[in-house]
Amino acid sequence: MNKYLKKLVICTIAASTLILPACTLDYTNPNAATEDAVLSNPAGLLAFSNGLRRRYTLGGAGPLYTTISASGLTTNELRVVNAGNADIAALSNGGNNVNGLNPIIINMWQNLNILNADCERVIAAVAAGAIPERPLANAVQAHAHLLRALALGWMATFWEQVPLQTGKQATFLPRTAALEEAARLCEEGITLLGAAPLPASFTAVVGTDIDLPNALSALSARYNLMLGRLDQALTAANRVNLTSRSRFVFDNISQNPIFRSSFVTNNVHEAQTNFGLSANLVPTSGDQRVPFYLSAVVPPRGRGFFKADEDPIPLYLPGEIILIRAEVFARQNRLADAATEINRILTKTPAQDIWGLGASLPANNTLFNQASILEEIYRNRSIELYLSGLRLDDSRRFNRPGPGAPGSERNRNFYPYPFTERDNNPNTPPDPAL
Amino acid sequence: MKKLILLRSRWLKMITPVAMLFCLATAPVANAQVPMYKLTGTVTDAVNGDPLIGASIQIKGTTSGTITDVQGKYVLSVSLKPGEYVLAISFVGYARTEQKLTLGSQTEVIQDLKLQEDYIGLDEVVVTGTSIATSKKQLGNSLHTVSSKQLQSTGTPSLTAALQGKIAGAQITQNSGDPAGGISVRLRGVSSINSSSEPLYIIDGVIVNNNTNNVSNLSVGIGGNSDFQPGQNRLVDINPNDIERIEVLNGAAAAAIYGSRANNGVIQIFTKRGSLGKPKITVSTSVMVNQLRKEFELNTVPERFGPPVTRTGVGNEQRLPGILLFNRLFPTKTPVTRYNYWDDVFKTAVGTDNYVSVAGGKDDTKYFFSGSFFKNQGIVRNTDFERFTGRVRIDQKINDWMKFSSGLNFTRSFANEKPDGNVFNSPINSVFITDNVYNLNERDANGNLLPVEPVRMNPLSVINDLKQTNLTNRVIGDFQVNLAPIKGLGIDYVFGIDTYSQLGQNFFPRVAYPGVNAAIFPDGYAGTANAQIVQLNNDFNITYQADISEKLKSTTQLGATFQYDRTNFTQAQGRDMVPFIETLNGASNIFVPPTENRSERSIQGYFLQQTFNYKDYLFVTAAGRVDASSVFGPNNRWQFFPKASANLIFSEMDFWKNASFANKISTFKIRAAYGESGNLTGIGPYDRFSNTIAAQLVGRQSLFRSTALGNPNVKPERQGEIEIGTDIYFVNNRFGIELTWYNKEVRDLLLERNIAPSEGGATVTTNIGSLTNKGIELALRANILKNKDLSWNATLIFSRNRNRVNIPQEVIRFSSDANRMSSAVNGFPLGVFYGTAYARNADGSLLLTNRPQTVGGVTLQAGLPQNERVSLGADGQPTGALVNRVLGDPNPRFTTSLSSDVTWKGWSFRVLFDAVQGFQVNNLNWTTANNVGIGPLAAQELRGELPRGWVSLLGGFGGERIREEMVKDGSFVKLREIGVSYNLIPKALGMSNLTLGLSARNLISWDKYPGFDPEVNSGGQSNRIRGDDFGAVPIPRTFQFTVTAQF
Repeated sequence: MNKYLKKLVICTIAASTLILPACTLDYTNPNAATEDAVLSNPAGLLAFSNGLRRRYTLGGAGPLYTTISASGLTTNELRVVNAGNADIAALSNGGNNVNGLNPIIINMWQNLNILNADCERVIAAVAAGAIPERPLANAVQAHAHLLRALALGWMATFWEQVPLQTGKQATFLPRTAALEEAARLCEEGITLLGAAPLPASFTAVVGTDIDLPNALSALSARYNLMLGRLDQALTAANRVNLTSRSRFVFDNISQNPIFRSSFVTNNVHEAQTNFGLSANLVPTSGDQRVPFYLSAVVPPRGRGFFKADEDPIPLYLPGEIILIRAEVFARQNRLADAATEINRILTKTPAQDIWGLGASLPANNTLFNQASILEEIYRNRSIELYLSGLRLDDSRRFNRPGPGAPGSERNRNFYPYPFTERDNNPNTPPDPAL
Repeated sequence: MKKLILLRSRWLKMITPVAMLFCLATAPVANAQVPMYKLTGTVTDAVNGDPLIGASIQIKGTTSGTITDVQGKYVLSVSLKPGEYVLAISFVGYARTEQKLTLGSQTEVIQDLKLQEDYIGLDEVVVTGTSIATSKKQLGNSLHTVSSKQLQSTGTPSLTAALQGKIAGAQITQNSGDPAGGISVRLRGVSSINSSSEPLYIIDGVIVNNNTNNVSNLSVGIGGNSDFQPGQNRLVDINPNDIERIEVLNGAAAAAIYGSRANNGVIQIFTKRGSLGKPKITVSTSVMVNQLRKEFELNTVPERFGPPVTRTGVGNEQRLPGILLFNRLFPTKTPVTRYNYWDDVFKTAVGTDNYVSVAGGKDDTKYFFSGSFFKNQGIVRNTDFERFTGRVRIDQKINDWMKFSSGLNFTRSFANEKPDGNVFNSPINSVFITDNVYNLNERDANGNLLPVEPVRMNPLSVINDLKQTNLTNRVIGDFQVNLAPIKGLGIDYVFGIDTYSQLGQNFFPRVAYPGVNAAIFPDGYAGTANAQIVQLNNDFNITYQADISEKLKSTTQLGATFQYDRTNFTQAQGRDMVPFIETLNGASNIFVPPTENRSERSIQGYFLQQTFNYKDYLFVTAAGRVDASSVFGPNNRWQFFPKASANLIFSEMDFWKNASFANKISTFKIRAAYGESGNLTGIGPYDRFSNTIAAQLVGRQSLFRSTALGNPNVKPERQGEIEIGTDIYFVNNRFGIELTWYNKEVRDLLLERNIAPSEGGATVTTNIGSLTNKGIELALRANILKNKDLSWNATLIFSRNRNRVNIPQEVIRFSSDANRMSSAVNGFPLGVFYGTAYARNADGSLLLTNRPQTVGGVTLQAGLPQNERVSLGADGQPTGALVNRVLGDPNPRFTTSLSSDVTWKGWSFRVLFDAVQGFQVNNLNWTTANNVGIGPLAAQELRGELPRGWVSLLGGFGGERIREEMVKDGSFVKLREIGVSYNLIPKALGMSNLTLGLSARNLISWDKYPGFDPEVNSGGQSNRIRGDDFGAVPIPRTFQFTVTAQF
């Protein structure tokens, strides 16, 4: 009996050693939160608002880098330093070399669409009552409107058709519909914010780098202008306070993407001589915007808003607002008003500009006809708004010589859709020829 | 804690009754009166009558066993109930024999035993896939074994490298020639796209971790994404000297015992144990000499295109002057002096390997101790690897029905490294991106190195100044209990723990000269990362063997496994270093936030396996198991996997035994097996969730969605494999053929697939598509000669595997860098190179441009190569979009090896040829070298043998790179091992044995590869990026001289 007991005890001990490890099959992730948790909580949504901005601004795959680089390479604002970087070399060579496999195009499309989806989630979560505090809810929602407008606006800049709403097998609408939605989002955001200042609970987390009402008005003006809705563009532009700055800020860790991913390396892309403008459009001698944007070496290296990791990048420039007014007047054939606005740009000194960007040139009184005024507006947009990502749409809107045309100023009109979209969404439209 | 207690009690409830049941069942029997018997006898060679020293004698179904002494004698005292027993006698190199033993009234039993030499391992005792010892002959599946003898003096510190060419169905690739370079093993091809295809490694019952943790190459993102896994894999911590035997189970068909983790096959490793008798001391010491086997030949033409060389470190004129860049293509040449940079990078490296072990035992205790110190320099200057190991094993018999064993292994591995090949400040790549027109050794008045080509780093800065270290401290321990409470019943419990901490540290000082690309830290860099891993496994098996009748025997096994692992990873980096300081404290710019990552995972599994043995010629096994893994959601967590196998040995049947040909065809066996298994670690621990990640944005809190969308319904991929084989042996088993055909299909393939970004994400992990591997494995073994003084054995191994990926899209590219072409292409093997091709005429010749073209402001002449496009224009020139196609395959058509061992008196000679044929390599070095001006095509363009502009267009400087040019045939035959040793029995210093050996590894390679070595992968141990050659360190040729003494 004694031996029987001994065996029993030993076998029981042996069996119970099985239980030593924890037997759970459910572990929570200590490194990340679930999407549901974050989007149903005010603090989560505030941090997520910063996440939207992070998605937009950071890294070599972020929209800020890809839009500026792509537009810059397609319109000759940028030169390729090392063609071993096949993706940027292909964009610089343009035409057939640009295809849906290009990583810059893939990254731009992907992150703009994901940003769109992020913003949709924030807007829906706030609408569903995730933030009980009304002014905070409005600020979070208006902020998401701003980022969503940017996402749609950039897609409409580079592609002919845009999936407005994200989802499985998303459907595409013409780019004008995206721009209309972008402009609508801006206006709705302005309405949401009303006249009251942003609540401290919002600015304490998200910061005050972006003057939301002003930025929404500026983008509304931009997208209405791209749509040719001149009156709305002017109304929105007139609302913008030119002494307010809205910008994306950076530091050593959250680095200025153009500086970090390209300019500091001198191995990717770099500024083009004379902003890459055709001979008849090159800056007038003495234009102070040249030393602002370009270094004196030959070929130049880029400066402007991309000189260091911590340089902020403006969301819009006051010069853009003035030039929007000029363009509206010019297209409405109010030539004298247009000339006045152009001269505001030409005579603006660095000291007069909130960003220290000014041509400091004498006024130009030789502008008489609409064509020459429009060309001067395009020329000044190309200089004043250098590396803002806007030149591709400008080049199309001002009917500059397109791909293949003599004196071509852009090597593509629109981009092909990335293979990631085409392979996985049967609604993807056909690629444009150029 | 409360939860834990609840779980504990729940498990107790479930498990304890089972255990009690068994114990109760055993009780009455064990309680019976048992007399004490003393068994004695001698074990001898059946042919020459020599006593066999160290042969193992075991009474089957009990824990009683012993080992013969130096006279071949054994003494075994047992207390057993009288009756019929079976004595099992085994000895390395001899056929396992079983003999009936009758215990009656006589308590002193004398039984002499004879063993027949087993030339080809047919009767070798194996345990893999069965959990209880059985002979290879009885298995329904193929199993390969490697003995310690085959792992000695192989010229490599790596256990896996030492297996190269020795296992049918295995492709073993050394990915890097670093002294601790990583190694990949594929058994019957890849079995997953999403996760690793490396086999499961079990050492003495412990599931050991074989991760590749990147702790020392944090500084630069590699190749576009994390599919690259360069560096050491942790099996490097295992000392091959400690290994007694290795069993390799290629197929999942037999893997019911190991379940989910055995999806890629099992490599089970058994370390040395003590044996009864006086302490046996083994001391061995080796000296190794390593050298670069073959250089990538650098340009020697004494001129270059472009201006005379200046060394300011700046200016675009000096940058890549050979090619079309900055809107210029220099037409004129200037004289230059060309240097062989390899002399500055490589050296002849030396190393030593010292090992001591003590083994012995007395009464019921056996012990084994060993210690080793290995140090080897890399052929890249200032790199080395050292490894200190210590191992202890104790086997203790408690009583006649209970014994335990415990082992502990400690390893400290330390390496001085250089940045990994994929980055431009690595030793090899710093050469490949710099024209060889600069004297690297020149210094300025302050003694600082001078700049080379603008943007680049002087390769000597890399060699002399960049410090990178990798340190691992590791403990592997096991505790095992074996119970045999009644005849036929065995209860085994194994607890295994494998835990280590791996620390990487980097320090790059400031570069003294201007112009270096900021991406490679001319302002200095410090970084550190730490990976802490712990893995636990608990395996509990109950085996019951019963003779149902005289003819029919049954073995039933019930098993359970509980596994847990935890990983912590932390890293911090900074740049812009303050002078003198080598740690992060000196970094002025913390450009990446420090990160921490933790993950936990657990796996449970249960199996039941039943084997019937009919008259020792028919074996039928069926098994089923259920497994669950915490990485999958509750709906798909528990999975059932069936298995069946059968094995018919005709030569054991009476008609055969009595037939006239029985002597000629001594063994004839056919076998078939089918099994399913699931990849329960196929996704990361938290991959099924929609995760929102924290990262700071200008010091503010931010949360953002992972671009990988969650999928709660993702389930393990499921592999079904059928294998059919035959083993035929001739002339008393002196010649043998082992042939296996297999077909395995992985369904519900796990794939982190791209989704349309308009869905709001980039990827989602889903079960989609399938993957198949079909192939054959053939081994021909021969004992060609055997007499008293001379013996000659030879083995030929041949394997072929055809892999095919079936996915619902044409292609998945594994890198966002289009030059790293590894992809999954529907209908092709995994990892094929997919990219742009040459435009070709119908006859295959290059379709060259027919008119001058202007690119980047430069007019290029006609007659240059161009990319294939979708159509041809009216002028016969390609037009439309670029064509991307499958350009090459890194998976070999077949592998084969031939080994020969000759022993003559005290001498032994061995040679191993290892061939990998019919595969391609993505030779990025080739195109990079040509672009830079140091490659063979650049030399041809300089000599006027190729028209000006040719290299520029190939390299992608006048349009898309023509990537077909990078794809090169890698087929090789290597003289993998060659060695001679002499064994003498000196009469001095108490030595019983002294062996002197001289061997060489990778002495010769027969290949046509335009590079260092086609056996390489700069993707490291990546599952997807294979056959990629970009700055990886080539595998050296190694000579080793070894002295081993036994006392």
